[in-house]
Amino acid sequence: MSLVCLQFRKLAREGQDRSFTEKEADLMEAHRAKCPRCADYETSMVGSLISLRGSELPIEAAEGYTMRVAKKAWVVCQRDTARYWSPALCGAAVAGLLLIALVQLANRGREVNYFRPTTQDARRYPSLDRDPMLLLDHRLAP
Amino acid sequence: MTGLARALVGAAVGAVLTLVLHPISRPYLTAAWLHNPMPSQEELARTPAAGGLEEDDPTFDEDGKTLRIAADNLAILKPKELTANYELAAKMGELHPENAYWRQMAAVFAWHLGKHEETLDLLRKAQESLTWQDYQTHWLQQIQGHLRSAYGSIQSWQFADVYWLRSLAPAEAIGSTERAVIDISSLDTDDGLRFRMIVMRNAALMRDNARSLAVGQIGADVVEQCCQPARPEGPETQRRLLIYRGRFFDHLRHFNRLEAVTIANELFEKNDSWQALINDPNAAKIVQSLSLSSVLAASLPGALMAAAAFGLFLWSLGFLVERSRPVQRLMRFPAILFFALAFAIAAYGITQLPIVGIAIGAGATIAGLTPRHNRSRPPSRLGPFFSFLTGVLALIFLALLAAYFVLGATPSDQVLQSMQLVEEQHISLQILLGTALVILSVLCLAAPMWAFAQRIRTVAVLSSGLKGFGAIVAIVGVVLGVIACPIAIYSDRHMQDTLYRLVVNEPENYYLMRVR
Repeated sequence: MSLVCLQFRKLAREGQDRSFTEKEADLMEAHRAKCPRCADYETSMVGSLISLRGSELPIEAAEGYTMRVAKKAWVVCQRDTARYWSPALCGAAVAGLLLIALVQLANRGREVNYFRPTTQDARRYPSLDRDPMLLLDHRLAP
Repeated sequence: MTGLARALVGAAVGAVLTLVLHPISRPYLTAAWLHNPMPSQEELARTPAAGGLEEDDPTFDEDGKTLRIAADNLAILKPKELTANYELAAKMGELHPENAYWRQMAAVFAWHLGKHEETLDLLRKAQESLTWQDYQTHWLQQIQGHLRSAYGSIQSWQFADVYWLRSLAPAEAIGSTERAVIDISSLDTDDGLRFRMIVMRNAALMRDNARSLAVGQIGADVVEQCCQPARPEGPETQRRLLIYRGRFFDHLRHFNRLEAVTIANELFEKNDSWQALINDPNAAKIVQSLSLSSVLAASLPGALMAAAAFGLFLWSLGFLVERSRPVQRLMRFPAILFFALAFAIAAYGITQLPIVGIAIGAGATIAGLTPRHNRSRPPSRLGPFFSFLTGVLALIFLALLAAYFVLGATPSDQVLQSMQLVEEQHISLQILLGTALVILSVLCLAAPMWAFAQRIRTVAVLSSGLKGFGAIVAIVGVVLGVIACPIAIYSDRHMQDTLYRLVVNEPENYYLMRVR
């Protein structure tokens, strides 16, 4: 049995619960025509399932059995969904925390209080003792 | 989807949600598509000047504003209005003699009323003042407060916006009056020299206490002109300026004004210090570049996200075209002709550029062409060249659309209006959107080419192209937007400090930059 056969049988089983993608449908169709053993496997599996669905059970189900089964199926389904999307949740949490830290860091260190209008004149000039200046009139130089 | 792909999708969604929900980053993301109603330039100009300053008399600001408006309209003021402003300025000068601004403004109105003697008298009194304050800075800070309230958060573009609202008219009016006094003051008479010394001390007060580099420069220029003859002897060179100064000292000594020589020498030295330590020849370019950077920082992350949202729409459209039979039927002749016409009219209506309307119409029409005989088994991929073409077009489209959103955002609107670049902004918006739409129509043109070459239905190529194109725009847009947001916040905070200093005390900023 080749790898394609294995893949065909896996898809045949999954095909009872979901529809195929275009690529999968092409693969199934091509392999069905090529491999009679796999085609027989698929036919017998589908036939058995149909006969199982059609058969009547002689026993009576307990009260609330259907509800319990439905609830369990729902829980299993939710668990699978959570498991499937758990990497996404982890990714979201990591990215979120990282960005909160980055935004806080980027916003840090404001030097000036913009909300308080300045009322005093800042005397700005360069001190003549320290800053360079040109003594133009040499007769005034000490 | 693989585990890694799911983790990356989660990281992207988590990052975008965090940035949207965080109060610091939210304004940077919403700037591109949420347009807060902002006060117009006229409303800003009418901002009441009083209030907010506990230790100051609010009438200072209001009277300062009245005189500023009068200076803005000096050329068209009637004698009655000139007189009213003169009286107001003279009264304020009497009440607050420590501020030379009032008396200098009174001198301006007196000069325009032809009262030359009074002008000289007012300037003589003004030279004894301790300071020079035109009260514009308080007014600008109040406008910034209005912008902050209207926008909902404090960002650097608000300081850039108010920086450009500062009026130079009062300083120019004072400078012009002082130059007129210099023109009538001869260097060869004792009175002429006395008037020049009065003007020099007035101009030095303006230079030393100015909150704006341009105002200080007017003062520094007038100080320099005090020693120059009414008619310059040739082109203004550094050597000639030094000769003028030397001659001015000689004239003062000739009339035995030795104290004036000392004062003039000190004022000239301070002028040299001003030119060397404070005046920056690149100041205008620095502020312009800071203003544009502040606009970019405020709206680039949001613009990239908005472009990514549009990419997501195109991606979804690709899926819709691929899966929906009714949509595929609409993309055939003759229905496509109706859509082509509608798209062309819409594109022309948005951009006002006929070439864009024609390109969109032609692209949509040609997208309806499809080969008569198709392959029964179309390939799942259209080849590396198609992917390359789609990728390049998507990146150009993303850049153009992001630039369009940046230019159309509120910060850009406000700052470019203050910088008087509204016309350029309007043209750039049209060109950017028009080019982005043309890029999209190139994708529509490429689809039938590939369809005929590979014998595939055009709709299949177009849907594949739209999916690839949209995916690249969306993914690259989100990734760049998320990376750009913290960088934008960081640079915006730094620009806020610098632009605040430029608004409050511009010469101080340049002086500190030099001495640090």
